[in-house]
Amino acid sequence: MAKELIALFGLVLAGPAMAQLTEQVDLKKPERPVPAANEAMIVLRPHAPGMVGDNRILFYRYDPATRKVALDAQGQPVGTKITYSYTVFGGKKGEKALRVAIVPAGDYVLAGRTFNMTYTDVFCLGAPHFRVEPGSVTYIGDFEMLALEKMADGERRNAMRFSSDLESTRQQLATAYPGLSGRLESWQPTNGSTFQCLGDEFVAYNVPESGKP
Amino acid sequence: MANKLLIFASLLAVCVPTPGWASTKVDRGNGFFFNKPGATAELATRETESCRKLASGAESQINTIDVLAGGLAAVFGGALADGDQKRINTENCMLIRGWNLYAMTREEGRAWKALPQAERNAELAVLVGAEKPTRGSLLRTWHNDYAEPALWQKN
Repeated sequence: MAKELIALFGLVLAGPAMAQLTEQVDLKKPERPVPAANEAMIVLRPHAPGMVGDNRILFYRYDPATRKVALDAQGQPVGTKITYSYTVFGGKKGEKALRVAIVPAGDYVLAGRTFNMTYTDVFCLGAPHFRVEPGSVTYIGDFEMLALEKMADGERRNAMRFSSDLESTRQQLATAYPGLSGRLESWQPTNGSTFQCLGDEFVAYNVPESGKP
Repeated sequence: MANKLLIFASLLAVCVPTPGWASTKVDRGNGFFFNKPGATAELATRETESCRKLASGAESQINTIDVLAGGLAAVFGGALADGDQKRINTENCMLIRGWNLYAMTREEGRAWKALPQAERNAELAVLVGAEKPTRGSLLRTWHNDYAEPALWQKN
């Protein structure tokens, strides 16, 4: 019990600092919330070839005019996070896990990734910016989560390999949202948006040309 | 400029390991520099300082260049003295701006240290903008690793 409490305390202390706009939809529950008039749905599918721990994919509200992320009163970015875990306690190798969140319509950046709740890679050196219109259902992509993987230069770094498969995602979404899957459309990302660097490792994330719609 | 190069050169000398067994491994610890063909030492100074500020949170965005009156020397010296995370972030920032990271082997590091100071200074101003640097080996260049990771392949 003592260890659990310490771990829990640690998680509270180390939790990613951001203001959560909305909660990710829990697809294990029977309730299926839908976007309100001023909201949109984002859909993505993280997956992993093996254990990658606990991951949160971060989306921040973004103002393309000022090239700044929205901040709350405490100076923390405003946005949403999508969770994906693959640890000894759970997770299926290679399975593309459907993730859905309902967010206020508007502009966002794919802002980064928190790894095991303690380490955040922030894409502040160049991130994909995209817009979601009210009522839209937007497919962001599939992300192969890699943790401290050895790169070609011999050093170990995190990565989220991007790929896109709209129709396969539509079929998967149809099991959870049969009424909305027909509206699923690919995002229209623009690479290279910069914003204030708050996190641990500062990197850039470019959606590959081959992965763009 | 001479003073700036002097301090930079001193820094590289500080990084040179003590004599020991020969190694062909290229490592930042043996000495490193950023290179962009055609770049001047002034540009290297300005951009490294800007990236260091960003890495330490002093500069809010990569596109906001606010130059300090530092020098190439102070900049590179500081980059090495920084903590690991700040060094990595400075490096990432430089790479996305088109700089290449060159590093030395132990032997190269020692050879560098053995050079007269004036010679080092003159070389440094050339190395940062050389088409093909005559010292060190290319250790890292920017690649879209987070979205398109090039993973290590066993031979």
